[in-house]
Amino acid sequence: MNDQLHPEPNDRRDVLIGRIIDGEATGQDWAEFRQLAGDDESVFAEIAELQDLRKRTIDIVEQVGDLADTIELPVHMHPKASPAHRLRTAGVWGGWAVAAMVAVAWSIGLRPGDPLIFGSHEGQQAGIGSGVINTAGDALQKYLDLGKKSGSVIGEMPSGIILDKQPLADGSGVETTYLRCIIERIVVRDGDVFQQVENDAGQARIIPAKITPVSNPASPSAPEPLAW
Amino acid sequence: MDESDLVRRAAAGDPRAAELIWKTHRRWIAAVLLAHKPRQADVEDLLQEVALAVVQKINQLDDPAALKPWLRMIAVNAARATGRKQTRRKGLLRLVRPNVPEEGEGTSDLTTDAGRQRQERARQLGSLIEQLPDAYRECVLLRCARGMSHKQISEVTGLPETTIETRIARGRRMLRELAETSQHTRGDRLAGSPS
Repeated sequence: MNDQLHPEPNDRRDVLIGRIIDGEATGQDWAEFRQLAGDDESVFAEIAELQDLRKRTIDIVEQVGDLADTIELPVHMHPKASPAHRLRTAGVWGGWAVAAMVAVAWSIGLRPGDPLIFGSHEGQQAGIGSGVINTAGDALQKYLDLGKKSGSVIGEMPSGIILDKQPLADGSGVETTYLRCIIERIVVRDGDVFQQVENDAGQARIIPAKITPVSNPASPSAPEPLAW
Repeated sequence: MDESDLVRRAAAGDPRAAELIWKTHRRWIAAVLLAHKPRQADVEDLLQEVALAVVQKINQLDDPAALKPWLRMIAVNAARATGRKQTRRKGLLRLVRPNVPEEGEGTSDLTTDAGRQRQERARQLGSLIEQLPDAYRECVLLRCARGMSHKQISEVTGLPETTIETRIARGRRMLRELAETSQHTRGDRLAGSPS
């Protein structure tokens, strides 16, 4: 549509009514309106209908506005955000994973969201046998080993996900921010189990969950179903 | 601190400045998305896209004083770019969550008859608003966003205030006429339906 508006016969009338329903009419507008209403009483019904439509439209816009208020800016994706800030605000992993030394196979063409394939972890094994932890990679490997032994760690996913990449200023490489996924296992006892539900107003609430015993378990090799 | 300073700081990588800009403008950005998005596109997804574009591109904003038109342009582009992919994804989501309401319906009070009626009226009004010409629709919706005066809408769209006021006035009249026609059509349908 052309940005230039050609005047239409009803424009002044419509603008006048608009100012009244928005509560922005001046003294001159009111004087003009009184004259208009004297000639055409149907204008009152028109104002009532427009006020109703305006109120309902505000409700719709308020709803999406409230939705917007829940959307935060992913500031860690700013091209100039410091690496530390990007890592800190990625927020979905523990700090140990961020610092972990891994051998990764990746390409310059990968974009955020692309899979990142982890290579061999042999390089991380060095400190394990000795029990000495010199690097974050040592600590991570120790955690994985001990976790597997105790049953709290099932394993690490073979691939991660690239969140961001930035060429280094000196062109010597690319700083890559990525997500590693470790599968853990935990038994949550009755009383510590909660579930998220929505109340009648659509708001999320956390309530204690009832655990239903599984009477007919699957074969021993199958994963245990979560039943609550 | 004025907004231009905030933009410069955000462009330089200050996350707090970027967050402040976003929080100040995100409500009217949502109204722009509502005005330009295809029917099935999800406002929440689009807001995420806009938020990401803002943070990634704010250092490309040459004139800090042009922040508002720049934000609007990002929102309009995001809304228009969303197409069949969004529709397909929404279709898939609906297979899983068949009771997800239409955009704009909300979920606040679907459990009562009065609530359902209110939501149905909102859905009907939403479909009437969709029939307005693009330029009128955006002005009408922006005017309903919290705190958006003609002057502020003018800053966002780059149009003169008088043009904004006229578009809103015409848009509202059209909306009223559409509502009237729709009411008559529904009345005719009810009258013509077998008892």
